[in-house]
Amino acid sequence: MDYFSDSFIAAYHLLASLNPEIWFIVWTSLHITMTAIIISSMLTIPLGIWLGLVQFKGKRLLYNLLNALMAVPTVMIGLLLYGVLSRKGPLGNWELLYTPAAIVLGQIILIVPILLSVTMSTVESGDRQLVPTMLSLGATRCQQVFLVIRELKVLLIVGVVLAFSRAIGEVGAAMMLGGNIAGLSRTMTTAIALETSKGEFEMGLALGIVLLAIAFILNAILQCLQGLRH
Amino acid sequence: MSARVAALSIAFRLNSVQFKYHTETVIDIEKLDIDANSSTVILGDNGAGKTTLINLIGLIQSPLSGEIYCGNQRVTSDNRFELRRRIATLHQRPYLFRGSVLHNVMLGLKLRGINHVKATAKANLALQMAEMDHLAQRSTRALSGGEAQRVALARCLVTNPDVLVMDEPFSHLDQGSLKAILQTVQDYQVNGGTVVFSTHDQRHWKELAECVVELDQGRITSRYRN
Repeated sequence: MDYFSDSFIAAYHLLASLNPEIWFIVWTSLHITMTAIIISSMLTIPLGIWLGLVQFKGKRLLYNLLNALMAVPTVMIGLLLYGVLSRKGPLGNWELLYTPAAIVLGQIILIVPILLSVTMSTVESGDRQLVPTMLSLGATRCQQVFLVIRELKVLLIVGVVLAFSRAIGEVGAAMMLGGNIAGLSRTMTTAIALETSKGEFEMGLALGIVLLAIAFILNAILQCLQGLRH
Repeated sequence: MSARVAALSIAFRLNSVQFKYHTETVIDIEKLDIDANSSTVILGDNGAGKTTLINLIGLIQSPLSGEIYCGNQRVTSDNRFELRRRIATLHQRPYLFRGSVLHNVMLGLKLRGINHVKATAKANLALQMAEMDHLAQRSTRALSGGEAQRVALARCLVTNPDVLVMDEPFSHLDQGSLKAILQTVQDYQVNGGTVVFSTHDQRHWKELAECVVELDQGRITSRYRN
């Protein structure tokens, strides 16, 4: 018990003393995940709204495929992308492996199925009169996407927050693609794994506290958004 | 389309139109003509296919087979969007977007590329004519059912459509809202508009409809002048 409480106190001191190494790792994590979220949202939300609005054969199959992709272990995403980005891989000449960009790519692959599925189901579970009303008002397909974003923005943000929490807590792909290089691609999750294996439990715990705080903040945001919705 | 439809006697023609939900046939119409510049009511019990027929006429849904003519133009996937913009559909349970009443009424205009100042002026005028200008800044979430229906009707008419299509417009309305809606639709029709509406309510259609179409299990059983 002493070991745990002493480690906890040491972790608190590390955070309170604004240890630059810790805060740089936190910044790297946030920066990478925010980049992945922005790129994924810009690509996926309009596409998800469009797919939610139109009826087509194979929609159920697409949902099943997205659900299957959501269940893929992150280490598997890391492994496959490692093969693609490694020197002998098809995109080896891009020299992205062991850079933050590689982690961003891994996180995008991780969260695109989540965002797409949540966006599609948000649109489909919305008011059944929304689509006929937009059609009868003479909205083009593009205008319909913007109207849906405006109308369902709270639920769409919930999806983004869920994707963010999934991405920031991910360790497998970040470790394989970023290489856990100090000052470059070391994220909170990879640093926790490394520091703990080195016996630096206090450092791991300090980063764990920050990660936990982020999870609580995200949860609070979700609760607020749910409250706004009602 | 006003000029074009005014010159024609037929606003809509349906030829051998079928519509199915999964395997169930809900509309099976051999031939139906709807007169231009007049008011037509589609009568039928619940489940007769009125809403589907209204959606087909409003070009919200496409038939599984058959042809729909709007004026003298056959509706195709190429011209459906442009033709739909000349028809306003009032749904049974109108959907109002988040924001103010004014925002909702001007939405159809803004979607047609009309600038904000002109759209605001037109929407304000439409609300004045509907005697709802005092509600302009009110949130749509704070409206009663009757007020919401009147706002939706103002939103339909502000774009000056050639045809007004309404699905059960008199359901669940208080006496004041009912009177206001009947008056607004009558004014629209007197000014040369074509009105098509559905109802299962026997009380109010007689004062509005010139032509009656009776629908049963998706089929036209009779068509006559009121």
